[in-house]
Amino acid sequence: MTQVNSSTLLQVSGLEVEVAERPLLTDFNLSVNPGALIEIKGPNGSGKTTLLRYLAGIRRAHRGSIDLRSHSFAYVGQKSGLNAALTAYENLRWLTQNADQNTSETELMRVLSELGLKSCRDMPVGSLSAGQVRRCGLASLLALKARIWLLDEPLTSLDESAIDWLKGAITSHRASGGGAVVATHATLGLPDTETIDLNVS
Amino acid sequence: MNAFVIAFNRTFRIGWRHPLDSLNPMAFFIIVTSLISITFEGGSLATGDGLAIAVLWVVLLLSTMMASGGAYAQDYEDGSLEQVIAQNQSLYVSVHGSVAARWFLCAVPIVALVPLGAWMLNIDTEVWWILFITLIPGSIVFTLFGVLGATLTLGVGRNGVLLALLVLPLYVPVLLLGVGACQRSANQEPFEFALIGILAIAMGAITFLPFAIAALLRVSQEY
Repeated sequence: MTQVNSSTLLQVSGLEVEVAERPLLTDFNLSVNPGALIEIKGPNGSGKTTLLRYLAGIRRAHRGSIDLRSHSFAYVGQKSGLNAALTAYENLRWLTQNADQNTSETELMRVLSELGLKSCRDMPVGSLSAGQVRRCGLASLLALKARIWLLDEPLTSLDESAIDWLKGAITSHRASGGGAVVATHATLGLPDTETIDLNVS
Repeated sequence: MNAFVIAFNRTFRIGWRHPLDSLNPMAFFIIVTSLISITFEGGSLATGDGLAIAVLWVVLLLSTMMASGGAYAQDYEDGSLEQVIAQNQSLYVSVHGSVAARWFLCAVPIVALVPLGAWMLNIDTEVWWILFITLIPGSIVFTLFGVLGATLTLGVGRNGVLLALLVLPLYVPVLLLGVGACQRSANQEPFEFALIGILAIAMGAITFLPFAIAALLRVSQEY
């Protein structure tokens, strides 16, 4: 039984995750409290990505409920969400507009420079390296100022400094009362991590 | 900011950076109309304005279909479509913005070339105004159906033939009404019925097709 708390950021109860009309997980429960970091583990094909897509509302749940309690969230999936013809800055600005937020230009520039992308500001994303595109996608986490972060394999193609940055960002996000759900093979190794193994449940 | 403005700005900006997506259908339009005018050896089309009008409409139809075939394919590939759906923006309004930008980028330049095409095909200048009046709503409907077909084949990958098979039958009523209005006007017959018909179809398409497109975009994320 999951503990229901009035300050819970995200509450999932009785969710059925299905792929191609075949249930992968049944009666899945999860609650994300402020400051929580939940790592979802499991072998390839166990439904990590699909589960995150349900949580982000990209797929609609047919059975069970997902309650975000109108908290804002940021989803960084395996696809970057960035258009190759637009510059890093334009993409980031669009992502904030898309989430109904008015982030100022100086704020967006600060986020880009924090990720070492200041010089790429006016370069089309198509001309950036895979790691830089990844950094740019993760920059949306800071730009969006969301309470809940949903990250799908965030460590893919990141170098060591970017991984350190991400760990720091998640830690300060948790300290400010946010929650994060991360689907990953390699553990982030942060303290007080709750792990859900999809193969066991 | 409004979902319409956000989608319009984004689609327009991306389209502006890919000028060939607009220029190719324009080139296609000019090439086909000029080849037809050469093969008819000037003047022989003049006796039958009806045929020239039909040719012009069909060429415009094919060029707009060519232009809207890639709608949303990029957004689907790079994941920006899932960001739109995840953040729960009004997809209906967003589709409107995106289609409007696409119409400005791809259909308006072709409609602007119509005088050139009409001149090459020897269409009487008195018919030009009715050509414009019918081609503007006509091109809106063509663009909407083209985007509908493109979203239907989103998961399938690039499939031009399938797209043509799916949407061509939908184009036919507008094509018949449009050509009919122009031909009747050229023959000094009453054409108001056909004109009202094409405007009605355009209004209906603008109102209802974005619902269908939005629903298809959601379905495309379900597998």
